[in-house]
Amino acid sequence: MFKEIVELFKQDVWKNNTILVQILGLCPTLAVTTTAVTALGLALTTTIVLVISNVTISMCRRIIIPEVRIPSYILIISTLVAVIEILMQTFMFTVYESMGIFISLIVTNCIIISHAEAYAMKHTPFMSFLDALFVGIGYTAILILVGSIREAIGFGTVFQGLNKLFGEYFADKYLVVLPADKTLIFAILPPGAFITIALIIALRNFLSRS
Amino acid sequence: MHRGASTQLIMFMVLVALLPAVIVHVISFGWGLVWNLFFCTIWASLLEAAVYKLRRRSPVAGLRDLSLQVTVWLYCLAIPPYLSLWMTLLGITFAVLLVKHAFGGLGQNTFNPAMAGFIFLLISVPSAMGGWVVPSTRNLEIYNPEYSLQMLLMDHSDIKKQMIIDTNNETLKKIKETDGATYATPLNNFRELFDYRGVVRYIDRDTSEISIESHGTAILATAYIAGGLFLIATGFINFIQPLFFILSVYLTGLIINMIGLKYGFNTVNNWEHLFIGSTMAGAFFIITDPVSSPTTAKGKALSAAIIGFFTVIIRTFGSYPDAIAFAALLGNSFNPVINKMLKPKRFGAGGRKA
Repeated sequence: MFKEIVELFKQDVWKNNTILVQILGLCPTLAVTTTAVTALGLALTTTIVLVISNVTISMCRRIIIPEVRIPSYILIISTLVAVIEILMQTFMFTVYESMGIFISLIVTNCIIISHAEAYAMKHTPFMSFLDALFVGIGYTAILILVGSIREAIGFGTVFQGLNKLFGEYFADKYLVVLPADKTLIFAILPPGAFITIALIIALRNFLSRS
Repeated sequence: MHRGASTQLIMFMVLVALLPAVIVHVISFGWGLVWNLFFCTIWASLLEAAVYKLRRRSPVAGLRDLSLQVTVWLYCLAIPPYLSLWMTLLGITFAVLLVKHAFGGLGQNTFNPAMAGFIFLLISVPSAMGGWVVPSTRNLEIYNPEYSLQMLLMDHSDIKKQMIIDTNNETLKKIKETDGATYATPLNNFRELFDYRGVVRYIDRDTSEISIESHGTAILATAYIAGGLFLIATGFINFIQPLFFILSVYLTGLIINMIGLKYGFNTVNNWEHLFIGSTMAGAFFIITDPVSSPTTAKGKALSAAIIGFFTVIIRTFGSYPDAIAFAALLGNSFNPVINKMLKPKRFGAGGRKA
């Protein structure tokens, strides 16, 4: 059992990392990683939706009729996203605003639906919970990495605006990496996202060659 | 192309053809270009040698084909002559590592490295990239080798301030009255001149004598034309691409002018499209890059026409100062489709059925 969990962790975080290896869910990844904080916000939201949906679908896996399983997943996922969106509007409005449409678009995130189909339908709720959690960890790590790199090059800071997520204590807790006149706007424009992710994928391929 | 010329010879001839433009550039903008060429050559050669080493190839053989040198020259001619050195080197780093070698090196790069490096800088540090000095014969004295080097080592905000101080206020005023060139690239000035409706005329002004002060970009364009005609005459580039490109720019400009006059948005005069910015550099040196253009003659014509069309469209409606680089990269991305669409028929294929 323990060995299985460790293997699952390795699979989800490194060997089959959703972004770096499966190249899934790239649209929100490219769009919201302009700063580390928005990346973290979206990654956490996606992880929460992923965990709850995976567990729910796993629990319902004996009731869901195979012919209509995809509409059933969508129903469950969109309900969750709607709830989370309303909660964020109420309690974290600034974060909600900075992420814009990408919160609603979590519904269509391929990562969630692929793990519902490929994992949750075939495993126990507990294992599905772990799977979702590990995928979430892998996803969050990459998003923070991409977001930090782009923010560092584009704005010269890392984790500026953490107070929007975790309260006023973090208002000035950020790193200054580059002086303002040495920053490159390129990094926070769309091509910067593609090139950053491509370079990280290249690095991963380099590290994992046997 | 059928004369069995080596890559090295072709690239050498391109460099020779670029010489008039380099000389005119130095006369009208000072010694900045020479320093840029010097530093970029050293830095880019080191980078390329490192890449060849990584790919287990001989760095000497790789550098000997001079293709890197052509990239460096086009790049340095495209960027403003007085740009902080770190920016210049960053742009050429991007061009060599990501645009040229990440795609597989010479012969494999989909996009023109020099233009990609230029665009990288243009969208990364837009304010610094707008900092051109006013073309003037005095620049050769003001921006002497020593002072140019000092300028390159400054921060870009200081460079801009310095350039405004250097340009004698009186000259600046006079120039502004006559042809609207300030220290920004002339294409920026079209946007300033767009206060009144109609077609903006830039070159045909009341000034009777032709000088670098009043016709700076047109003289530079002439130097490019001279180099380009030399290349065509010696058979190193094909006349198809420049011809279709220039026709396309002219006709699109004409149509846009008519539409603009009717619906009340501002356009540049269609003749002037040919002599402003880097139209001529683009026509003879950028879109004719043998690697990043289609293989067949028909494909070349189509690609050149597409680039010309987008040049005018981006110039008229875009927000960055020059459009050739963007249009060229956009055109480059059509190449695979064009190559596939206009594949020549195999000999004997599609004949009468027996």
